Amino acid sequence: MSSSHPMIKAENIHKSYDSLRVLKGVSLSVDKGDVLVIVGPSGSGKSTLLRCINLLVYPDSGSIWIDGILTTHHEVRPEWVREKVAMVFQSFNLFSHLRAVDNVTLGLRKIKGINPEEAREAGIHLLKSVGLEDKIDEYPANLSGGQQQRVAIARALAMNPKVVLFDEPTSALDPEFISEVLDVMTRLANEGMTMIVVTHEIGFAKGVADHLVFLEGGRVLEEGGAREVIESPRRRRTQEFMSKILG
Amino acid sequence: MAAVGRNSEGVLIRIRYWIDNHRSLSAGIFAGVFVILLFVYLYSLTLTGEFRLDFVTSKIPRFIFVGMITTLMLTGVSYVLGMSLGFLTAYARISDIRALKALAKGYIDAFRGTPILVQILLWMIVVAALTPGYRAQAFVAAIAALTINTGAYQAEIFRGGFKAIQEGQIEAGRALGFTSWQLMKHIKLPQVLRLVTPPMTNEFIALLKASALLSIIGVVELTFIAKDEMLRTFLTLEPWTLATLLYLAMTVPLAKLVQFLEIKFRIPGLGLPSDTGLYRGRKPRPGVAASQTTMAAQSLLLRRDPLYEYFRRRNRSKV
Repeated sequence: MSSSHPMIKAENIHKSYDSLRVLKGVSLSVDKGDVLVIVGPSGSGKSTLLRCINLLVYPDSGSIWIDGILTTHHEVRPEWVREKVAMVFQSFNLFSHLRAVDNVTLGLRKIKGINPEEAREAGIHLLKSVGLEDKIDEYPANLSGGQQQRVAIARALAMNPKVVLFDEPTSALDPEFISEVLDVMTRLANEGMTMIVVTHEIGFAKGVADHLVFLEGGRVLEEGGAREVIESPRRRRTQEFMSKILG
Repeated sequence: MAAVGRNSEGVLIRIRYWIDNHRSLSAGIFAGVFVILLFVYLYSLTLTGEFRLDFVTSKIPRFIFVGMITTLMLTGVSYVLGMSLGFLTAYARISDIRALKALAKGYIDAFRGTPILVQILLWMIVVAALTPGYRAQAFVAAIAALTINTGAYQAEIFRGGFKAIQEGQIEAGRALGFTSWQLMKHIKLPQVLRLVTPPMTNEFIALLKASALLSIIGVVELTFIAKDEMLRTFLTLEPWTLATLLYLAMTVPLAKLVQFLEIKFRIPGLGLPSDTGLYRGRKPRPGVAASQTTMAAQSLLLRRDPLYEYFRRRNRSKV
């Protein structure tokens, strides 16, 4: 259990959709237990970068290591990578035919083969940890956005991932529900989970993130300590962007 | 407002609105219309003389055990075979392989775009040419015609079901580590099957009614037997009344049963909206999104529908 290698390492990632070059050589590295926040204007490639890391999208070139294992190598099954690297989406994406607890345990039951009773117990435990002990048997359509997103976080954690990716987890929420989701994420970070978070919640970034990457036009424009990049960005473009989202 | 009244669409909307607000009265009116039709029917009895109830009771076994059983058997077998065909075709239609897509599209267009009666006759000719002397030619042609016809309709139903699943849920499933087969089994299929239940029930009933056309190639099903009895006995109203009642005995309970199951196993946010008439007396649950059709109906009632506005303005300018 040496920490000689970072939990996530991405090197020189390129990705194009037809003629549109979305990522033009992005590299990043996250140590175990660290939180990296990615910010950038829309269309800068943030979502594509996250999707490359858990291989929902295959990069055209470049290499990615998860816990020291080269995952972009073709002998690695993408399903194996996705089990290790969980993801939380902007639009929650809960399975609408399953109750909250079944959403959380579907992967445990069908991928890991855990029996239903045990899985349910684990699911209830996870839902309690995100403050939803009274919504265990509700269907997604009967939950608020904030509650749905917390179920989605519990679902991501159920597979016992090494890393959790968050793709603008609070952007689709009404303002009143944002803090309940950020609280869960903050606690998760404090418990030592390795996280990559695409967000414009600067308060969260300042308080929780270790590092920050500013992405624009498919390239890393600036990176460094989160507080440092937010408060005293070196590049003019980063300064402009920060002043805009700080309002 | 007079302009709105002259607009046929406006009238329809008003009737709908009125029915919604006067449920028991409109039910009474429908019942009245039904009673009047019944009287017209009874009057036609007096023209043909007496109604031979003894004929009806004596022929019930033949109608049920030969006619109805054959109708149900042919419809059932074709429906199930057509389901596999329809599912595969739907899958081909949404696949990325162009040739497969075109093939599926061609099949669907060809069989939805021609009368089923013509298809039945063509199949009979083809089967007769391929199997000279074979005694069950009509049966083979019947199953081929119904299967391939319903397959085209069911393909479109399944395609609609697959399209209705949110792309994000599939991505979330992949992100959890599901293989594409597991995605199909645990995420897509359970939702698609729920979504397609009402149109698939309609399709079964439509197919059952279409099976009456098989009488033309000599398949001894319910309609054939009614026609046969008519030609033998020169009774008209009796065999056709019996056939009508037996068709209703098959379709109405089935539709009711499916509706009951649908409500019983309803999942909020999937398929049935909670604010259709089906839920009278049940409280709509908060947070359940209204279906698109309901929303379209509501916007019509609220007169915010763009098409409605267009007609309204056009009509007004005419006045």
